[in-house]
Amino acid sequence: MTFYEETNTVPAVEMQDIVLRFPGVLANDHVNFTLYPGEIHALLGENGAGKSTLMNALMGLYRPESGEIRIHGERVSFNSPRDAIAAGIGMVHQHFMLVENQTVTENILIGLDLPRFALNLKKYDQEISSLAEQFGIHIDPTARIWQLSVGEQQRVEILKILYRGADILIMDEPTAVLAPQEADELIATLKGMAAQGKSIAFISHKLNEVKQVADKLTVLRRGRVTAERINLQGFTRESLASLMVGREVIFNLHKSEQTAGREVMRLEDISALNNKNLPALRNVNLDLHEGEILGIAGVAGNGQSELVEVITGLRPCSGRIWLEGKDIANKPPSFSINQGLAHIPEDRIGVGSAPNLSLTSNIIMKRYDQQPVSKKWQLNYLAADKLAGGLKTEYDIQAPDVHTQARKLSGGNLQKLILARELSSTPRLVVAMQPTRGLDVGAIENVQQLLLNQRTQGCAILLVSEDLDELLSLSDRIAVMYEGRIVGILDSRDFDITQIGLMMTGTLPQRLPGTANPEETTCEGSSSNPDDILEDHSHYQEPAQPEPTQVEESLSVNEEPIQESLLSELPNLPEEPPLNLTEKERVLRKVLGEKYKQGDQE
Amino acid sequence: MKIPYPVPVKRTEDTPKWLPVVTSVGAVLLAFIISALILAATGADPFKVFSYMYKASFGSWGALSDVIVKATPLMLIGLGCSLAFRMRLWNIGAEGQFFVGAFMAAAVVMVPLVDLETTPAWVIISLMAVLGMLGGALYAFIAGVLKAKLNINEIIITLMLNYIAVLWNNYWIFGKWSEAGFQMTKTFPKVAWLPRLADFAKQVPAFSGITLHVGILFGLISAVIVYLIIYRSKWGYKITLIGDNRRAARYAGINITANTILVFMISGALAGLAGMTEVSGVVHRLQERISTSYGFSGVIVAWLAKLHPFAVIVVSILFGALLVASREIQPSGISFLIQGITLFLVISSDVLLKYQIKWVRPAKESAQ
Repeated sequence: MTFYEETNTVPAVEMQDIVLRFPGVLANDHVNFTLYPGEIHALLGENGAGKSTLMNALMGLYRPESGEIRIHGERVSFNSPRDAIAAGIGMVHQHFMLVENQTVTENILIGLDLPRFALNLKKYDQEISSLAEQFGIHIDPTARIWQLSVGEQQRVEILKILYRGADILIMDEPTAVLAPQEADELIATLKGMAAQGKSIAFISHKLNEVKQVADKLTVLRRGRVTAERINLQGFTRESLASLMVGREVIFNLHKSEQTAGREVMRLEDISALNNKNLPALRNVNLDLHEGEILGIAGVAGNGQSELVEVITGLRPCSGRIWLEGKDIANKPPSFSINQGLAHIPEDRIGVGSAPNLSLTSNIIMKRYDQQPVSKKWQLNYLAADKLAGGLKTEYDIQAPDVHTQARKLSGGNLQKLILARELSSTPRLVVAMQPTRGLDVGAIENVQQLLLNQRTQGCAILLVSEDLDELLSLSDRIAVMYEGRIVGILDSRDFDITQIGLMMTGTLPQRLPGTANPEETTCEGSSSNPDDILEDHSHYQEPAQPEPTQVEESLSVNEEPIQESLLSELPNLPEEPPLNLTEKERVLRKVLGEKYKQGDQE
Repeated sequence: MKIPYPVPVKRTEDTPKWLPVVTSVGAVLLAFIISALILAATGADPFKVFSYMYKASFGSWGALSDVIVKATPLMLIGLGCSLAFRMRLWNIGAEGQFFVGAFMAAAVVMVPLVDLETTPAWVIISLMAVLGMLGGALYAFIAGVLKAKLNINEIIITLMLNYIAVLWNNYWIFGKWSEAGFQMTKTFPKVAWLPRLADFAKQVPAFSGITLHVGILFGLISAVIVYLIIYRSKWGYKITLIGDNRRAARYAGINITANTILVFMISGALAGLAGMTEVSGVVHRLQERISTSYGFSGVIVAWLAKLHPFAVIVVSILFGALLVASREIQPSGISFLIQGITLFLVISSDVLLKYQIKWVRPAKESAQ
């Protein structure tokens, strides 16, 4: 990595003594941040540590109360992002700002004064192609946004900034939405851009990737800098974490050794459509036992949300869902709630809570019908407050009192509230979707331990997560979803992050540790080298090379006919005409992108 | 000079309990001030006008009784709207539900559904009230079902249904039930009249000429029932939850379809009852102009009362007073002007509940 020596170069960005205040919060307390040309400088911190706030100040979205900002040595004062863009600063937000139905080129040109009149798209397509090439970004400028995967959409955002001539890039938690391989690709791209002299501020709360990507590191904690411009050598994951949260974080949760009990839930041949009426689930079969955590891995938009909605009664489906001996498929949500189903939804604010109602009202959401909260037609608010107060203490929900509105709780406390409501009802099955997304390290640990406690108590847990580390540390089995199918189920002793990563991107399971009888192998598209498959999808078309796989063995946990049905699923995947890499990939991404961008159901 | 940036408003996290009351009262006062300025601009003396309006509505027992008579339908409709609005169901169809209620009540007499000679008065009046409510409820049911099952915009549906209801009534009063070709039915027999204080003038001479009828009791009782539903019942909790976050309510296992239809029907029933009190308690016949757009004023009443049932009582009396005063002053539009300005300001004042205005001194560098 080449970056200019600090001593003889003017910093690209110099932020000094930045103070920013929101009602009741000191978001940035005399923060310094310096970024030199050609370097990647990571900003590490928990949620609410002030990382994004600081960068938004740099983008002109907030104006600091005091402090100085210099860009290439010149003092600036931005009134809006427009000023920041003019000064060569660009930001890739967590949520992309792209027009779905327009092409890559059109999206990049939006908001520019040029072209003034006639739009010669071809000319701009070429311009963007060559710009992308310069920075090693692979993108088809004529593709429409909805056809692209999340990773590709992010590349469009980056190109948008580069096209505007930015030499300072702010990346706000760019890997949060990406699959592991896509994240690696992004990191390579960023390093390439830095090598060409671009300066990159990289916001993150993931220790691993910060170690991987950054040249320099600044750590924020509660609005203050706890480490400024440190070099990453000599810092362990643990020491960085303690700088970030101010205490030693235990990374290993206590997970008891136990064997799964009897079956609690079984999905039989579940298929469902997404909000655009396209197939989202294709003949899914799964089973889940007492005291077991079944992890669902997959890149966002491969049917996980639909799977959860189908189980919780929020989406119609075909097939059957047995929960404690009753078929809950296509039954109203109240039916499965009474059958002992608890649901920790992905969208805590939009689905999991009523933001303007009190903590009490949110706690009794699923038990307003039960004693002592209600008596005949009446609702006893005193009893409800008492119940809420008890749970507030038990689950350590930080709020002034039980009358506090849910929207005033922080993300972690809101999640605690939801967990308190869902877990205190002694459920038989917990369906948890992204239960720790967006939470800080302390809260993550808390939530994960609560889930493990439920497991110890014999509850069955379906854990859908995009965080592979979380799945690996919590799950007893992991099922990988791709394009609405379960492409494989791995047992905890066979967990392998590369393997799961490959399966998540649509590569069939093979070359797994352990051997099985080759005759049983039905994966026609197996290749001996998974890297080849990643590089070239045409391998799917190769004649079967019988290769011992682990699929059977991992599936043998369930002695159900699911085995056959699952295996018969597998050969269906590659039955597509041979295409070259980019076209094939585009087709895949098209489906992927479709599913990823689901609208609100209402 | 540069405009200070950022925008000088900040979202407030905590709204003290007294603040909504202060802003509402403030908005009403401001509405009077603005109206006074307009009156002054037209050459009138605003103080004279206001004192005259006050006298016209609260100056005597008779006037006060008129005010309460006018407030009765507003109260009932306001309560119905409050309930629906709590669930964020925008029932703008109270006017139509009012007319259908009035029609159903009139049908008892005009068809007639019972023998008017022999049936006791309380049976006839009860039947009129029940049918009035049923009519309003069924009429609102149409919009409720369309909203709940097909998610069709309830504002448009209820608004359009208003015209249908008015024209339906016209069909009957111009045609079949027309009294000698006039656009009205014959006067109902006394047994179909809601009891009025004037009816007891023989016992209490002071009641002579006082038109106050028992409809106001319907309004007060309804307010208590709506209060119990919203603040004390399981059902009220469900309504509030659906109103705050439909998706959360669905997730919690609440049947949104059924509750949408039910709330619509209750809202319609109250408007229908208002129609019944108007024909049975005030005009004693079905005619074209039985409503001075009560259905729309009721929406305003509900908003001004911040959807609280007891506040609806107070606000509807205030609006009743404005209606009575409008008869006495020229041009009578002044009252409606005040109504309009009041609604506008009350809705705008909500901003003050959510945001604080705070001038932020521009950062140093912009001054340079």
